[in-house]
Amino acid sequence: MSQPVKIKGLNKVFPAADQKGSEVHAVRDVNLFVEPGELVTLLGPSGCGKTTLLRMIAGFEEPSSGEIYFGDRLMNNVPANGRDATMVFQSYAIFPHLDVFDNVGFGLQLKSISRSETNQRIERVLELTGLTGMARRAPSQLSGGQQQRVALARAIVMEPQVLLFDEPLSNLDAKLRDQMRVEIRDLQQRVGITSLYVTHDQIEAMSISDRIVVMNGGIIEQIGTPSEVYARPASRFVADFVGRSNFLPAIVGDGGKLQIGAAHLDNPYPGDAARGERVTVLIRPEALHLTRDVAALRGRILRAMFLGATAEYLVDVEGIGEVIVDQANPGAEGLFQVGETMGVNLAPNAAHIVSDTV
Amino acid sequence: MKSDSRMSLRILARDPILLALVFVIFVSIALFVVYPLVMVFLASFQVRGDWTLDNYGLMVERRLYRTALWNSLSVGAVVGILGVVIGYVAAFVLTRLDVPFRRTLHYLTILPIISPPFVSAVSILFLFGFNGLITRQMLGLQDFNIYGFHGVVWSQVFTFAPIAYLSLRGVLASISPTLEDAALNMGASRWQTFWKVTFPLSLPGVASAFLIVFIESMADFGNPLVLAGAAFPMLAPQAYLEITGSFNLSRGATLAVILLLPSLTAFAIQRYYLSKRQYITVTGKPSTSTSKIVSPAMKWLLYSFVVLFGLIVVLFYGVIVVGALTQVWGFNYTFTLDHFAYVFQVGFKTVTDTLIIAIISTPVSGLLGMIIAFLIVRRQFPGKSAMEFGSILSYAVPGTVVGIGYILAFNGPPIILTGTLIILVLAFVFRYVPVGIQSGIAILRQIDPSIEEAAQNLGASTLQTFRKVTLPLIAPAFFTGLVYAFVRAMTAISAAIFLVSANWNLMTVQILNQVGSGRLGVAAAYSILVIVIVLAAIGLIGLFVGRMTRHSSMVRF
Ligand SMILES: Nc1ncnc2c1ncn2[C@@H]1O[C@H](COP(=O)(O)OP(=O)(O)OP(=O)(O)O)[C@@H](O)[C@H]1O
Ligand SMILES: [Mg+2]
Repeated sequence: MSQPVKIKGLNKVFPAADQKGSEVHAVRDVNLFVEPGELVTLLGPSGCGKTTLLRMIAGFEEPSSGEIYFGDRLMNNVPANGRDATMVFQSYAIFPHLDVFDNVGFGLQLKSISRSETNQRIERVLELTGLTGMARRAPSQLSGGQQQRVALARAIVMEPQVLLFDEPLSNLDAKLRDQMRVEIRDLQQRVGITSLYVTHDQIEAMSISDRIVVMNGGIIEQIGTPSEVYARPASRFVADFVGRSNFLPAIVGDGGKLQIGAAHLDNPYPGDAARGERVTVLIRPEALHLTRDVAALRGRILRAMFLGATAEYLVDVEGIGEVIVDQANPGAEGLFQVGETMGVNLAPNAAHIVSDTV
Repeated sequence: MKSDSRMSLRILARDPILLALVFVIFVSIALFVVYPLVMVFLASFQVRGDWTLDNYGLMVERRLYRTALWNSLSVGAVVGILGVVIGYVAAFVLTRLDVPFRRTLHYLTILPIISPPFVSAVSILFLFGFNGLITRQMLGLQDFNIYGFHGVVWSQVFTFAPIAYLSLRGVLASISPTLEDAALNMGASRWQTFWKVTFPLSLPGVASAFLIVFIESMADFGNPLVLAGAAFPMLAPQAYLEITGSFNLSRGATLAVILLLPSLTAFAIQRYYLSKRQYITVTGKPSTSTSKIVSPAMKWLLYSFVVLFGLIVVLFYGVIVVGALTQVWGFNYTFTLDHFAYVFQVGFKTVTDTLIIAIISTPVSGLLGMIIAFLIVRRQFPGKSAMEFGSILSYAVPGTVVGIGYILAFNGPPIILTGTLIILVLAFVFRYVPVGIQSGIAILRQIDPSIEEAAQNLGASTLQTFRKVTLPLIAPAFFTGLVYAFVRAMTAISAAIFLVSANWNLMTVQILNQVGSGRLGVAAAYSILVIVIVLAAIGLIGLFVGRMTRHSSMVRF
């Protein structure tokens, strides 16, 4: 049965590699609760401790302090082979000396399950992952995407308490990545296993998660649904890492309204900012809109790029400074020219106050 | 640091099988590698139970011992140089030049590695001895004396050049020919290219090969015993004579210590200095393009040199075969099966003894090697580097030293093993396990550790992971370890000669006895039987390892 995962005060300090080097505090005071059947991604830049956290949950690394629970069971002293938390490795780690069938069946064959049930479960999962007919192929005879599916099949056939993914798509090309992303999400929903998914790709994180954990330097900066993390990032770091950002100076006005240059905006989440306070706000590039009509703000185009679905402009806005604007459907109105002065509109509720620290 | 080792202890405590394995291996290394060596050291400082430096005083005083040390060192150096020259030329020709019969020549060149230690000594006696085919019958020399320096040197060069060849072959194959092409392209002559590019790149490998041959030569027991003669004392046989001839254990132990020191020094240099200076210039697949840095004339000159060595191998083995099948070498060349009849009737127990010992020690040694390699590369536990050092130490310890150590250690309480099968098996297992360990470590370091983590992650215990995943992945090293253990068990003499008894005797010891009593025909028949058994065993081990890993052949690592 699928279990919640509870992590309390988890730390990992790697010892210095040699006398001169210093310790690496790879994971710092992490607290996390993953609901049964939920898919949570760990998102963050390279070296922020995502893999280390995952490997501690799998039992490959020993925490320096803190506790890991599956359900009510403390897992710290359970060895890796007894955790029932199967992992899809970044390098797939397919057994090169076994064929697809034996790879997928490896874990089941170690258990005392009848042969016929083992075979049935393998067949079922092969079908689920689109590998039927390849059962007797050697790993070297598979494409990257197929190998990825074998790694996935091998993990889910165990019907584990927890599924762990360490950047499972990073070795695939862009097209296949998109496709596999959908497949993994689909599969996870169908089997309903509590999952932790590591990635440093924010699009991937947004598209498959129930919730996202944004990490930086071993610390959790924010936990939230994809839209929360995107629209209301807890810090400048999160805002910057999850999507592209304009950080603009603003003043808090009456009733929590924000004054940005000459424009006034509603702010449904005023937080504890006092009236008259100077703050930094985040405005996403797609929340800005250029128009030839009169608008709240005016600016001159410094750079224009046609990107197909959108056009990206760098605009010098009067009283504010340089901002990036993503304009949808540029085919309809044509590309504006560098040097043109335009009106700049802000979408309602577009601004969100960010602090520089957590 | 402290919290680190505490953490690895915690992990160890959670995996009882791992804990037990580590413990058993540590205890066995301490008992069967370190303890005998310590006993040798202690004995060398004792005379009849009293502590003294007298033994070492004697070493300095007596000319016999000084000469023995000097002789062993100079033979080691000369054999090292000649072995490396032959090995280098053979390796260069057979890896880099486009010449006919490369495979055949390769197998001929390494054949001496798998033959019993007396083959070349006996062949040399057949050819150059008092009744030698060449010296007496063809040249009519009456007073030619093969015994002494040159006899030992030629016999050892023949025996150990193949080892230099194998090690240099790896070195030369890893130097990309494109570097030579680049030098030629920049206007260097062929001669300059060789001396400025190829040779410097292979220099650490050359030094390493020299030290390996030097260690082997110092430790060699069979060739000196047969060919050194009374006028040319050498350390290893001298230590043996002190113990079996004059029952002077402590003097034998002192000679053993003196024998050990140069070997350990050479080993330390080879392992901790040179091995870090090997240049690896290929990335990806080894290049097979042939070298352009030798002129056609030079190419055929070098080639004929290799062919000559191959012919000498054929000659030596041919002589053994003829010697085993004729009445009395030098006098009566009528065909006979008497020598084989002797082996299969009078001496048959030795054959079965040897086989039993080899068949027991081979799998133990092979598996132990893979387990130790696995622990060293893949597991964290306190004292790991000590385990690595202790387990490959015996590679550098001459067999004579091991033999003396085992008598000193296991002749009395607390552990009495003398005269048993166990003592021979233990000696072989711990003496020949380092080669398997080293190749296991080398292969394992190239395999992505997450493959084994995946097995654990799917519920496999440490032992299941090892058996179902690690072992099949390192099958080539397993094969090497098994073959090496078997070949050595069949051909060992230097340590074993101290440990054999009426109950458990070895073919190699029989060969030595037959040579000693002048029955070269019987010695030759034994030698041929050993070679046939070894070849058959290599084939069988290959089949077994191949079956164990039926899918690996489809996979390129
Ligand atoms: N075995 C180790 N010994 C010492 N330091 C380590 C070890 N493993 C990881 N680290 C360090 O811990 C930090 C976090 O590493 P981790 O692998 O968890 O990062 P990551 O978030 O997975 O990065 P990436 O996206 O690049 O995979 C890094 O600074 C790394 O150098
Ligand atoms: Mg990582």
